[in-house]
Amino acid sequence: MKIVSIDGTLGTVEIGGIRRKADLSMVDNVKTGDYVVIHAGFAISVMNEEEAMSTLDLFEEIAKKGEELDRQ
Amino acid sequence: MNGSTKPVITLAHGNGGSLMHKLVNDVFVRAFGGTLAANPADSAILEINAGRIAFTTDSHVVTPLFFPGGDIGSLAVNGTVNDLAVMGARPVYLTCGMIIEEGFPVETLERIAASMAASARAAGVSIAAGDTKVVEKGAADGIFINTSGIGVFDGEAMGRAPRGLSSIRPGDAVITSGTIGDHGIAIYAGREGINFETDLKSDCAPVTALTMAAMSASPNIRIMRDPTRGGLATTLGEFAAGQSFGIEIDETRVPVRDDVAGACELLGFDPLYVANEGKIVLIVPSADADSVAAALRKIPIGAGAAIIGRVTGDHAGTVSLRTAVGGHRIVDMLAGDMLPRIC
Amino acid sequence: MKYIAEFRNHAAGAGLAAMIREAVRGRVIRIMEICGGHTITIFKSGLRELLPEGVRLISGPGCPVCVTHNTFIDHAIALSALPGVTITSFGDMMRVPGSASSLQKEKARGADIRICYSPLDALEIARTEPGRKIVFLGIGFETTAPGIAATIKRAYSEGLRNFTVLGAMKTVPAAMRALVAGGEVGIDAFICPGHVSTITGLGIYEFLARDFNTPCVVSGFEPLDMLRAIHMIALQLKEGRAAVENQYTRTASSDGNPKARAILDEVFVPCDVAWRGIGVIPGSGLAIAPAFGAHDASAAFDIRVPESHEHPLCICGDIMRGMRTPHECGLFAKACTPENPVGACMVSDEGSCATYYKYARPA
Repeated sequence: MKIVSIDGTLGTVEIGGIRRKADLSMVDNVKTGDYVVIHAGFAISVMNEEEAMSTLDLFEEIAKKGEELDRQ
Repeated sequence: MNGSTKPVITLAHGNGGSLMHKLVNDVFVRAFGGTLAANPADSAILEINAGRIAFTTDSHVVTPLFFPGGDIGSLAVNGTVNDLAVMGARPVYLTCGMIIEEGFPVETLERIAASMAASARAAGVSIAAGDTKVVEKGAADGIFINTSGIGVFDGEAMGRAPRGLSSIRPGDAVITSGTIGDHGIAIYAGREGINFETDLKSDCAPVTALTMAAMSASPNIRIMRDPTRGGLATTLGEFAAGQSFGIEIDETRVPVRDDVAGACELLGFDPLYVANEGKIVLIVPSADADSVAAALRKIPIGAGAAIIGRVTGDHAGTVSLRTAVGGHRIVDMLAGDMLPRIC
Repeated sequence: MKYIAEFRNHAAGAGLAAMIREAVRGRVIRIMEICGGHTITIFKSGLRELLPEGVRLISGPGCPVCVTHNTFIDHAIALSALPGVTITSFGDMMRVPGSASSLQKEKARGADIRICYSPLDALEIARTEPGRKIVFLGIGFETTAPGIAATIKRAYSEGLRNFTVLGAMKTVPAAMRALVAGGEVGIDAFICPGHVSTITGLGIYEFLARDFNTPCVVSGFEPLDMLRAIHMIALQLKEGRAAVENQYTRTASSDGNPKARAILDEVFVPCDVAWRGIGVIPGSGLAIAPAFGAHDASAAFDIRVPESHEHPLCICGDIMRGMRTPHECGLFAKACTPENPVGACMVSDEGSCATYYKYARPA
């Protein structure tokens, strides 16, 4: 979920327009715009956007190969 | 709580005497005024010019009573209107029976009545008859509303009413009039322990314009239904159960709003099982699929109409979903309550 | 939705399926996943259909609800009968059958039992209702335990003596060791839990690769994540390697979340605990440390918990260890259904039986 505002150790997080509060005390150095994994009301991890992009790139590459296979 | 100075419903209001008479006049006749056919008497006498009529009943219980996009009143009216409309009928008359818990605020009752009147006007129906009973505290959860409804088969829709389950054939197309899961999530958002903020509203609305549009685009609609409790999955499951055909839908084609999808991710729900109150699902001959979908999209509440799948000769009796990665899974009917998932 | 929809697409699924087929080349490999979220993804996405015949996916004890011992439910129900006690719980515990009843049934009979999304909600009830004794049912693995620990810390620092936790938290590595060392199931590789790993880091799985020659890959929860993780496993096995690898790099790092682990170490101590259907696994549980003993519900109330018993025909234990499948259970889809569950595997959305029933029951 995306952090849209921070107030001390509490944050407001958002997914698809749905907002709720989450406790940020277990993650460090977060700022608005960061993506976090929320579990039972707590943020437990911050998404590494660089790694996310490289995972997506990998899947895109595989998808292209997949489409080629389909055409054969 | 008693002790406030706001007027509340008491047992005396339900006993048939002058207090009840006054209540009926002040609240119901005043609100339903424009729609109340004839004068209130023991029965309404209605002129109906038709050999066949559609006739249905439904009782409504909802918590909370007022929610974004609607309330128990609009739900009670539209729910019954929609049950008539999906049969191909034009809804004309409704009755309204209320069971009210002692101590219920009159002001709230007035709000509900006003909402019912507004919904009835918007749906083009008259509230022809009604009944009010008051029960002791604890015997009802605030208010229960029953609506019965009559619909007629006339005008352009005549002869075009859906043929029913037995007319469904492999190859037929499955269409939804719009996004699924809006109502159920809007209701859930305000409930105990689930607090999250959203602008999401229930889609509670009469679907008559949609059903009429569909029938004018195709004289051979197989079946239409409004996927309320149990959602799209349960409705499709009911179509397929015990039949010689199966239904396959494509996950990537089922329209779901971002906020509904987000809420479902959060709660561990599946939008396929979440209730809708202003949508229809239809099965139509494949040749008519595009024109029916286009006709639905011309109606404001049908803007998101989509062809989502096909009837098939395979896996008879069951509904199957082609997933976003190309696998398949069975879509069962809703079993038990959906509870928010944690891990 | 950003970062979710992009992980679902037909072509990439087909591509990964082909890559897995290439790496497996007719061998049989048995892969166990021990995370409820993974069980759900496999079924919801119809992943098995995309995999070659030789890849067998076995569901392990990854559902914290399913591995919670019967005694715990019975204990919670007994507490709910005490005057002034409010039981607070995650939603998925409500319908789990104890020896004679369930929390949901007791709630219908008038017990004060409330569903909470977070232990912080339960703490808030303790603040706003000082006259009631709030007991939070602490279920979960390393993903959930830190949040429960943080909540206990907060209760302690605020002096909220009416807040206690009945704990059944468990840790995953000891269970994985028991599964592999037992040798009954024949596991060739593990798909490691995604969110547990964000807390623990990857080091906890090293012993499996090193001492048991079992490849381990941490996977995300999207279907493409899991297909890629299976591919990574297949490559390891093909090349005769056994290592701990990470597919879920965008969320799980090798070091995990040290801050969360520090809270765990402060509030909890390891203990022996019984896993439903498996038995006692030494050191696999988390008990509340003496310093926070005032918030331990198992000590705070003087009650006798009646002896627990399981339905004699329930084979949830075998199913959770991957030894048998739901179809082999005489009760499955007959006496035991989601509406009337007999065992925990049918109640929780992540339980093997519930997922089989919902997604894979033959017509």
